[in-house]
Amino acid sequence: MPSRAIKPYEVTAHPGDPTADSPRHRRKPLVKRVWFWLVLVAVALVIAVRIALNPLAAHFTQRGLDSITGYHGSFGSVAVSVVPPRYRVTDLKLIQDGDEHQEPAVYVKTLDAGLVGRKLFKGQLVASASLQDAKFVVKVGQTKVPPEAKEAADKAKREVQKDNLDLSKTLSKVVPLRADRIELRQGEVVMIDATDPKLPRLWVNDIELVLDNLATRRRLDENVPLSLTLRGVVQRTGVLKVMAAADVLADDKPAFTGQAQLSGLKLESLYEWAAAKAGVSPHGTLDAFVNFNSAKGALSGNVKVMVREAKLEPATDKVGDELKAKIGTMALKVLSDRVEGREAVGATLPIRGQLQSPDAQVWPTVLSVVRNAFVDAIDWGFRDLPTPTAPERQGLLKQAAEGLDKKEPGPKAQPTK
Amino acid sequence: MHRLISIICAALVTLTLAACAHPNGERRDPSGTDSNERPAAKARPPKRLETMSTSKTTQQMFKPEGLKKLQAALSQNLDGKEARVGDHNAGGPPTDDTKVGGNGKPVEQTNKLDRQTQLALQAYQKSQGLPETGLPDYETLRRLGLKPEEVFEHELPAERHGVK
Repeated sequence: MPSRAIKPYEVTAHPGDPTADSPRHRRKPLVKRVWFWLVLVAVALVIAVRIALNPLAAHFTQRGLDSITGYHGSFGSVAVSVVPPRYRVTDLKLIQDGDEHQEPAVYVKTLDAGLVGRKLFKGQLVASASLQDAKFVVKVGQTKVPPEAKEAADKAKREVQKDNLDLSKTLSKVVPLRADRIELRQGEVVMIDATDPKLPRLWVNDIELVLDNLATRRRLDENVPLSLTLRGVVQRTGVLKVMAAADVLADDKPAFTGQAQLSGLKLESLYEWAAAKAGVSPHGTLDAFVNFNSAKGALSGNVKVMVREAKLEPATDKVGDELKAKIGTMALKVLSDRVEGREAVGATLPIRGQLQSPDAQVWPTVLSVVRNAFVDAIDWGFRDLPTPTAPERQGLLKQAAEGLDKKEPGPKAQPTK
Repeated sequence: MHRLISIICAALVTLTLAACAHPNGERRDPSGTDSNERPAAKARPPKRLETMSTSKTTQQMFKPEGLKKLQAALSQNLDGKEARVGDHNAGGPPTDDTKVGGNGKPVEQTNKLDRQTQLALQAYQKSQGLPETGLPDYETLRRLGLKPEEVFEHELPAERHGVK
């Protein structure tokens, strides 16, 4: 019998298998083995990446915080997930360099941010973020600002001025992205008057804020404008509500429309500020209404303020403070309306002009105070707003004659041209 | 100098008008009618101040039938549920006045962002764990089964009508 050379791989084949000799069958174990190792390596990689992801994210978060000029930051923990793509940081703090009390300028208990997975498959970057229990401290009139922070603020200001407030131009320089939703839950803003040694504070608590549809390209917006809604409580007494919409990608200058309302603010809650600034203690309730409209750089806005049952008392026993309080109370009596149970001093302040140089008009404001006191009481709410604009500029006498005529709707804002 | 003259003029106008007041403190109405005849709406401050009064331009942010659709969706989604919200300024527990939507009391289709709509929105946002602003945001609309573009205009009032 002629002897047959046995190839090494044939030794492993099962003798009873009829396909054992086929080259396809012979490759199978090798392919299997390769697949096995590939899967093993992939699983090991996934585990390694998963283990390293959070420390890596923590490292880059700290690096990011360290790169903020004029501030130093810290956080409690960072967690990242790949499916869905999300990032979470807790107990985030930002403290201004050189702050003697080391009070955080920004504190966020939980910040959640992520990308919308299904949009990623379509090649779109759509993000969302949620901030829970965030606190922001704003120091007004602060003199001890670190030079680096001042320099960074000046640089940002120059950047904005360079594009002449054209946000579409500024946004075109960043990555095509849409922030689908940014939420702030249970937020708090504290304004501190740093010029006064007693550091009087103004609080806005329980802030619920939603910013929807901020796109950096026109094709990414969802056929609706950017929208902002907010509710908060000022000094634990006044309810602040804001609703606004904006087209930040409009040609030339951003367009926006909106309104804000502060209702039921007890003036007693502003004692610290009033005593520090004017030496008087105010009493009464304040309501304020603001509406604003802007397109192609032109701005039109109105502010209406009503103070009900207002009274001023001296903050100290000083003669000057007592005199101020007496004169103030007298003026309030003269200027308040005679609506039973209200006794409100009201004024509408028209603002007209260009976005960069808005002009608050004095005479229509003075006339609206006089009208409220002697002619016709200003209504609560937005009913008297927007203030009508005169077709052409009027002299003071004509403004007064029309503004104080009961048949006319009220003092007219004056056109800017 | 010009500012000083302006202030003096303002003070003079104020004092002249103050002189027109009745000696007993009652103001003289230029129209000759008694000041007590003012409309009742002006005679009382609003009972509850939590809800927002809406300006004409804000109303123009919505599509002509947009708010009706929102009100219909709110009625449908709040139907049968207890929809009560507190009123910060009113204080205390919610009253009948702040009950909306549920118990066979639908949100009236006024096509305005009025008090009942804001309270219904706030109640719905509360039930969904959304930020309770009482104002329509896009996620609230989506959960109500509406597309934001069904309710909001794409172009802002300032872009459509110009700024006066």
